[in-house]
Amino acid sequence: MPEQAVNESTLRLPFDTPQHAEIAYRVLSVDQEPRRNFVRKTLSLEENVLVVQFSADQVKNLRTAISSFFECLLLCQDTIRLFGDAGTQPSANSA
Amino acid sequence: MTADIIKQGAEGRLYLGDFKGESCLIKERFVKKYRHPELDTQITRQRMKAEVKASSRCLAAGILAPRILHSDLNTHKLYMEYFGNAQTAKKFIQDTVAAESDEEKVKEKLLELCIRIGAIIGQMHANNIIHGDLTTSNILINPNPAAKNEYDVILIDFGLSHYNQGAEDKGVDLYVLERALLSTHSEQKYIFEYILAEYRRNCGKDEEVVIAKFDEVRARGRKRTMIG
Amino acid sequence: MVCALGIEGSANKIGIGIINDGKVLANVRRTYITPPGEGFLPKETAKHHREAILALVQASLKEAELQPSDLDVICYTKGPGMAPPLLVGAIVARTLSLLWQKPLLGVNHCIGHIEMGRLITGAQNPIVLYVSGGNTQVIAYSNKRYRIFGETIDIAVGNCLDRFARIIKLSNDPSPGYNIEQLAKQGKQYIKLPYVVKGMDVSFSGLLSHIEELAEPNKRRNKRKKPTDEAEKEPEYSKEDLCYSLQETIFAMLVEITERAMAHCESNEVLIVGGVGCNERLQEMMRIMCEERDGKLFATDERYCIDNGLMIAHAGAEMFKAGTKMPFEDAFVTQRYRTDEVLVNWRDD
Repeated sequence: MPEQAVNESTLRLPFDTPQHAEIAYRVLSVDQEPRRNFVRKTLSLEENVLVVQFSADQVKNLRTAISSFFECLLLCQDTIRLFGDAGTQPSANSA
Repeated sequence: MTADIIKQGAEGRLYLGDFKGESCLIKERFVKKYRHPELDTQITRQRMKAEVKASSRCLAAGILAPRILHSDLNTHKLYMEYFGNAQTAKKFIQDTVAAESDEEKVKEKLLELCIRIGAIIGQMHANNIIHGDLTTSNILINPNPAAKNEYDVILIDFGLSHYNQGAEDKGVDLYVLERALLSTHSEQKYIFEYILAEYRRNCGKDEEVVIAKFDEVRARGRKRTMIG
Repeated sequence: MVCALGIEGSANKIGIGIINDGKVLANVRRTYITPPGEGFLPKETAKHHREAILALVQASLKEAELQPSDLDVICYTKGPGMAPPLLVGAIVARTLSLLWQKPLLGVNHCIGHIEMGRLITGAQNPIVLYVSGGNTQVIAYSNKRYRIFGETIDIAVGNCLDRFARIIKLSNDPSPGYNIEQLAKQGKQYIKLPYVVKGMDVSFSGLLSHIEELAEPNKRRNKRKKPTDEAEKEPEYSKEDLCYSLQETIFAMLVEITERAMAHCESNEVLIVGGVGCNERLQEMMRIMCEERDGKLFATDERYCIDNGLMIAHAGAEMFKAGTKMPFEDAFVTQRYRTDEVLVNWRDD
């Protein structure tokens, strides 16, 4: 049976600092959901927490959207973790 | 070879000569060393034959094209009618654009030309002749005081042509023309539109099907994702 | 002086390059290789790229002996290509741009190939033959655009080669095209195949179905066709001869349309770029054509021909120098992005 009710999901994702949360917010806000998915995605910031709300007509589409979002989120987080302290401030062991 | 070389193209050279006393244009195709000899022979023969066939088909249907006087498959030479005073449509368009600063007047003059070009291509397709290489370099403007606009429009270079009744090949022929116009006359984007409008009045009963095919071929080009 | 880092991931290669004022500082790359008979799919390719990209960024900085603060701009491939792998490059590029506070530029993949080829070979204003898994284009520069004079009207040349390699179960390591090239060297018999040139355009799909039929005469392609009781037919031709004839035919088509474009644009230079461009037989045929008309061929080897991050860094650096800016919200990716959409504001000729 096709679901008529709106399916919703909200993710609250804490970061080490509000700066990192803001970076993730800006990086992940760029991409629009594919039109055919009929999924709405809204990002917002609460201090060091990135809040993402999803809503969709079909659970299946909701799951797909969340799982793709996580792939991007994890990649962004890993990038921050690995390169976050280089460049912006001089690292101790660089000559 | 003492004859004057008129043009050295990608596939061969053109020069003046005579055949049984009649002065004519000689089109000699080169052997291409880069390709396999068997393939080269096959391509050269196929294109010379295509040129001869299409020319006679066009003339029989009242479409202006050079008469082929003689073809020599062994020396790769075609002897054909020469239009000494003609210029290519490419040059005609470029000269018109360069000579006139008022864009409306340019459009007006080019519209006349496009109507003639659209009509002749339409007639060609109505007779199921596919040109295979429609560009403004392969359309001649030949002065003729007795003709409409005082010039004739002549199709040349039928080496890639073939006979086909299907709409797909006609659609591809139009697509090749549109792309050639976009790259050669990129500032006069209206040219193709003008040509197509008149083409539709002349291309025969399959007009709708051919245009649908043309749109399909065009869409294929746009939709191609081009990965890698 | 512009120092740029470029990220490329539009197909099955993920690469990072760093260039400083035209000087190559780093060019690292990994390729997602699938088993014989299988092509690469978007999801799996993206996964491969996600697992490789950060180590590659680190390796490139190490190879270039640079700190992130030495960079002026971060560049990534905006398209064309497969969306999921493209997105991997874009996400990392956006994150680095914000972390390191460097401007971000999205680069057209095809433009990257062209500019890289021009830089490495020194070709000034060549006719460009761009041949890869997804592209077959004959390009000439005019009035601030790279204009497409000829292209395939159906499948790309690399796609045709890859699909044939899959049919005869060739290895994808290092690439299907490379393995076809090696087999072709042992081919002797020329088999006639459909040769389709329309104006400056080419078509390969009819040729591919024809050669498929020759390679696998027993495979039922039409499901409605009933299996016959006849004994299995042996394929008439060897793989070597098929590869040889395939290359001879499709490369002749490519050389022919390139020569037409040269005559049309009155140009004497040819530059070959893209993954298929490192095929030595294609280069040889093109060189013979060029010599016959007193022209000159420019080509590069696999380091620069095959998709790489350096070409994105270089094209991005050219855009950056010319003053191109991109708002952060526009740092998305797009599967379709035509070569002639880009305004070439870094060339003055």
